[in-house]
Amino acid sequence: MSAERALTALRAQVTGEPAADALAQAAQGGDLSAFEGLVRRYQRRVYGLAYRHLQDPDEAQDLAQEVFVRLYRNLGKYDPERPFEPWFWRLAANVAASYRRRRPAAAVELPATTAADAREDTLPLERALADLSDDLRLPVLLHYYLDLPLDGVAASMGLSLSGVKSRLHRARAILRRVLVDEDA
Amino acid sequence: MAANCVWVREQLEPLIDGDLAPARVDELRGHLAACEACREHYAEASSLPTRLAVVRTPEPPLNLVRDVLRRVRGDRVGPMRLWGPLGLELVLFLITLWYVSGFGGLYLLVQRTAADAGAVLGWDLGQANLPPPAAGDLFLLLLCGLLVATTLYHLTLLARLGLRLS
Repeated sequence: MSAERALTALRAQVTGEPAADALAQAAQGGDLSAFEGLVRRYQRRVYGLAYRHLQDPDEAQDLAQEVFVRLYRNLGKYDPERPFEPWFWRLAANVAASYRRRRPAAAVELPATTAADAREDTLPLERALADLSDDLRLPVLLHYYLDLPLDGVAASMGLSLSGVKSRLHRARAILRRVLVDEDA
Repeated sequence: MAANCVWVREQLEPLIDGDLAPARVDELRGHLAACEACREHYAEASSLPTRLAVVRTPEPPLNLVRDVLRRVRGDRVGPMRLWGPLGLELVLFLITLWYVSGFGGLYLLVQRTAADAGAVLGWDLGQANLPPPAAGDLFLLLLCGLLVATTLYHLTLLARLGLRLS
């Protein structure tokens, strides 16, 4: 844990950016610009998770906003003695897992250009990922894309550790078969 | 595809994650050494976790940060808004105390309330006329209503801030 923190501090020194832990601590004290710094730092990854999870730009933006608003409201629960990122990704995973689509999938209207471009332009892996069912795609995104440990995924989704492993195995087997077929 | 290949491919992900017993691992490795098609599946399965970690995602919308900050600013509660109701609560409480004026006043209040309740009960049974509401009681009721409303609003603000106050 301390090595991880040291690495984060070193990265912050090299890049000249304030460390996420320091930003979180300042935001906890009411510094809104520090909170803005956190949003700017994590927006790409949070939006990426939301977009891959929901497959809809509007819904993804809504979910990403929800993650950051929940972060703000829960800053009081963050323990500054611990690294910020694992805590934050756990929170993001909880919000993503409990997020309910506002509209049924069939009623989602994507702009014609976005939908068509997305389909033609995406790589086989991205298409295969999009075609997975929600209950298989989310653990994949949380574990591989967000790098959340298995127990974190299990807690976020209300599953057992073996349940998460089983879903990951099933999801990867589906993806693997699709990719092998694409290559053939 | 041989039946054995089907069985082997079902075990590839647990094999890569190290979730299988050594004897099973040896069995699978033996098959993979001899079967090119299954090796192709194994190679694809091995590279998947790394490829999933760097899966391409679109740029976040430009207004994401702005919208988040707008929502968060709406959440922020300044000290005046937070502690202002305390002044009103104090004033209402003092007026109520002054109105009730100690134990004597409290006794009087209970006595009058009991008398009113008895009169209302008698009116309901058809034995008496409905007593006119005492102006003082209405005033006290209004004070208590205001005090409860202000306190509830204040508690809502405090609850929204949650642990950040501690």
